[in-house]
Amino acid sequence: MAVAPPQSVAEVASLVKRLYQPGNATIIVQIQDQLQLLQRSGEGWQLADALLGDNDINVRFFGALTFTVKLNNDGASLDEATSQHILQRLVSWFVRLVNATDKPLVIRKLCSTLVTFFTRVPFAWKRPLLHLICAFSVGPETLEDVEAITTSTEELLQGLSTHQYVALLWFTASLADELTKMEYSGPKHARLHVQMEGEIGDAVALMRFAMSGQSNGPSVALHCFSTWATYAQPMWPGKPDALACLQGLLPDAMNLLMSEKSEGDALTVFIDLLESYTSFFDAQNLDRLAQFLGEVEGPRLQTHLAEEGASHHGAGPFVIAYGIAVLQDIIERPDHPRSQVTMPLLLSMLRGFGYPGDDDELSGLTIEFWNTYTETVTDLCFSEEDPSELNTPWVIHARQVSHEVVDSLWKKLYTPPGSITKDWGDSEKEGFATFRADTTDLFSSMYVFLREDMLTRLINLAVEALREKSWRALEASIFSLNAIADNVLEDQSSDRHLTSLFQSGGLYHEMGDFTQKIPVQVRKTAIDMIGNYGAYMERHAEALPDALRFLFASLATPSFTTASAKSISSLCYTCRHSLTGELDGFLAQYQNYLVSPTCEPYGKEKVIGAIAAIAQALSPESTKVRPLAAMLDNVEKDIAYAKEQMAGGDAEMGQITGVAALQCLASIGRALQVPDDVPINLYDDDDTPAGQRNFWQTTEEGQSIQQRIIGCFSILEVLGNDGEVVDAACEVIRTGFTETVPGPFVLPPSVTVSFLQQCTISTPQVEAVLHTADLLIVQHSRSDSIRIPSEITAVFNHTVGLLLSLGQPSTDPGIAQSGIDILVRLFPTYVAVLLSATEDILTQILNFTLLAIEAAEPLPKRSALEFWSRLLRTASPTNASDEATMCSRIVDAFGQAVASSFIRQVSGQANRSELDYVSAPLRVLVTLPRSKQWLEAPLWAVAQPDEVKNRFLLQVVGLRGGVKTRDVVREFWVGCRGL
Amino acid sequence: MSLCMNRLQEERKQWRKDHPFGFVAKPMKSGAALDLKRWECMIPGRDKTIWEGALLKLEMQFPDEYPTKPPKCKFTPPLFHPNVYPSGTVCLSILNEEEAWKPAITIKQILLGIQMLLDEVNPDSPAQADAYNLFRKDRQAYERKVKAIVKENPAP
Repeated sequence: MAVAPPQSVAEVASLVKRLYQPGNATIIVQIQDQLQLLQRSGEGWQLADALLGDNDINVRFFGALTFTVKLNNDGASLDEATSQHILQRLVSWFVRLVNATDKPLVIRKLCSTLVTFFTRVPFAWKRPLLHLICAFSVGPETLEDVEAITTSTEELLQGLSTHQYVALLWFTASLADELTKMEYSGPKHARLHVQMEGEIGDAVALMRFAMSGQSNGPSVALHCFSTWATYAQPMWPGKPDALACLQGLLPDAMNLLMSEKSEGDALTVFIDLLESYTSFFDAQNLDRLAQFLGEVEGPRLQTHLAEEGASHHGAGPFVIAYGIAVLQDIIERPDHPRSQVTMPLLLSMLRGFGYPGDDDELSGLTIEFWNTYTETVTDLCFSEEDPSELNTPWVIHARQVSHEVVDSLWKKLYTPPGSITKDWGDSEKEGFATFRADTTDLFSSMYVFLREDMLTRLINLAVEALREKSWRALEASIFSLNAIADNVLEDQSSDRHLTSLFQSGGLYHEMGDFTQKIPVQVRKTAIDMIGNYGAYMERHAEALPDALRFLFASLATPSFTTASAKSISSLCYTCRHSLTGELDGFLAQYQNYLVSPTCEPYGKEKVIGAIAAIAQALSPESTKVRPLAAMLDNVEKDIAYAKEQMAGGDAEMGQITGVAALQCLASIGRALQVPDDVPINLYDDDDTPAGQRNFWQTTEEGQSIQQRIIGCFSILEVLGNDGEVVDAACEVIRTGFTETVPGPFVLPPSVTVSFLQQCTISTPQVEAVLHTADLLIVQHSRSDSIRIPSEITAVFNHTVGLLLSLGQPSTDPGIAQSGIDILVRLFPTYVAVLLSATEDILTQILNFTLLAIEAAEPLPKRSALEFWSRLLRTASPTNASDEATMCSRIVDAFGQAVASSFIRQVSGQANRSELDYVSAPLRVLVTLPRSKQWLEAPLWAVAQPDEVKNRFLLQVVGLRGGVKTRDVVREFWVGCRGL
Repeated sequence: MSLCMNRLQEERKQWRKDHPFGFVAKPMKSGAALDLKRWECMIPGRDKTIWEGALLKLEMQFPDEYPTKPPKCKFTPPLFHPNVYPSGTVCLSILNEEEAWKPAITIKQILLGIQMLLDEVNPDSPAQADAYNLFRKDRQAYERKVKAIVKENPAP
């Protein structure tokens, strides 16, 4: 049953009570609707007034709320007399309810109602705070002209009770809060901001009075103080008097830092002010804070750091905030008392008891300070033009401090032993991981300032830890070195320092000795280090054998297999030329790995690729045959095994083995690609012996390798219906595509063609095969590659067959899109292949592309639109070729249909994100002679005013394909969609 | 200082103060200085999704008009995902000036949004065919491919 409209105040009150009680959601909404109707009605004022007198707290709250709603809706249109009357009622209620010690819920709401009155009513409420103070001290009704009062605010405040001045503080804070929101509201509220300047005297008197008061007075006053500072920061940079008045409260607020009861609130306010509004403090204030730090907070913090379990009570964040506020002094005037007090505390915070993330809360927080410190120091040093300035006392001091920070953090990086971590939950683990990540970031910044000194320090720590077999210290050192690797490696002169760690018999010799019991994390970080310092190893081949021996040995440890396989791969890729002598050894190690229990597809693929990368560095080509044959032995063994599994009925394992074998083959193929950084001799045509150039397709040895690679595709005979196998086979073929010189994986185009010819639309992942054929066309369209029209014709014919057997693009959008992409790729080099199709086929295929434009699937649509861009461009009258003439004939036949299709898209059918794709062929179409005529007919059918359509046509045609067409299309589309 | 640089300084400060676990976001080095307009970021896969355990590298480029215009976010190397263009650029409404970008959106929100996108694919705006087609046609194969990416890009 619907809620009936209430007929009396009592009924309203009872509805309000029901509103705040748990109940049926539908009924609550109905009650709310009824009450909102009343709040907006003409009787809202009287109703609000009546509700404030109710016995129920929720009803009184609702009364204040109703006043606010009325003021928000109608406040601006009140006449002066009514507004004065309303103010009188509000003030009267405020005094009555405060004196009756009503609950904060009601009083705070009423405060915000009073503020709404102040901001909404067009007649100035003069000195609102003084008015309210007087209302308490003199009485709400007796007041005529508040500005005529001669008694000072301080004196008026003397007689107020705690309840009264706390309520006034709530009002004052609410005033600042609300006006802060109106910061950028323009001249409309300028009057209010001027009034705020007039309020500051009373506000400060009130806050000062409360700060020295009892009960919760000081805490509420502190909060009020912070809201006024927030207001003042953007509003009063040009109002020194008002600002100074507010700043005058700082000593009073500072006193509260030393009051047992208000200290917590005071710290919060000061931390906030120091962080966000540093200029609020003058030198004297900052010195007083330093004194407070030295005498009170500092000693307390030191106790906390020394004792397990002692609380720092917010002292840590306060020191950090203060440190950032006086950073310039800390850096450039180390002897200044502010620095003298702060710096020891900041450094101590890095040396507290416990592990970061666990019982050490402070070291992690401090990193924020050291980041700021380091960046500022670095900026100051780099902006110094005179290098001799870099040896000034403050720079020397900053270096000392920074070294101390590195040392302290290094100790904090130690991973805890299992006896500690066994009790750790996610939060401690995350906390510790975050600390390590944040330290990494800080160290890489610090390196920019400390340079070589930091590197040698960390290396010494590592070497010493290694000598003493102090594994956690070693881990912390190499973890730190990983953090600065990128910076260190930029400067090759650092290499001499790294030698002591990486030299033969050094770090990796120890790590590789798996008879030693070393914590897992140490070896893990050591593996990461190889990844980070690959560039060093590339320059210092003597470091490689130990490192690789360690990595190959690590393959046998389950938790290292993935990481070490990846590192083996990256090292062998980058250092291939230094490792050719190791090839046989690595192949033997690989055989060991294949039979180890940790052997798995990812590791197999990575490591065999790594070995193939070394084989790539061999020269001449014939020397690659033997290692390649050895690698292919392994792949062929897996292929045979997969077939056996399939024959034995274990399709699942057969599939896994088969995919893995082809992925290994692809990994070999990728590794054999000539690296980008190898200079190619552009003039070597005459120098290179012809036999070598065609080694892989002309010599028996070379051919046999290629035949073995192709032979691996025989797996498709048993697994050709598996998408992942098809995909992996395509990957193998594609590894040869990027090559500009012959290679074992640069297979004849016929391989791709016959692969495609075996596919139907039900072949899984036929898109991958089409995409491979697509790349074949790209490859053989390059200016320096040979043309293969007959193979491309075969690709085209088969693709057309696939597309037409789909019937509709929506039958399989993936195939439709990949097929159309092949048509796109025929332009411009193989356009003759397209044009040689019979008229019937051509018509069918073009209709298919038009269907794709109309269809809802985004990808075939984009491809079809691109196809038409290319076809239309080839038909342009500026082209004089036979192909252009033929294309032009096609366009004559299809122009009307294409134009209609484009118009449907731009008139709302396309999605917003597709408009650029639609604009592209439209821009080409308008350059053709009959385009205007083609566009007109479908355009007139669009349900838009004639002048809009006319303008669109004129603009699109007039722009003659210019970039601006896109904007015109967008505008028209927006209009058609009614947006 | 320009609005763009001011905002980026502030973003950096806020990020350092507080950032979600496992994420990285920092300006790239440019010589000895930092280039505030290019950030290197790391996004972890969300727990209890197929992306769990991954840590993916992403570059953010801020135009001069930032924050009026959004940054460009690009996975490096490009990521196999239906809503990531072959170039690596992320296709996401909050990163599109014409859609849901607002100057108030923070770097933290962007990165969390992209993390969310990893598992919550938006099939209405495909950006690459490979991942999109596999996602639609063979969810199992798609998930296996994602698992391989996770393995290749593990979180520390």
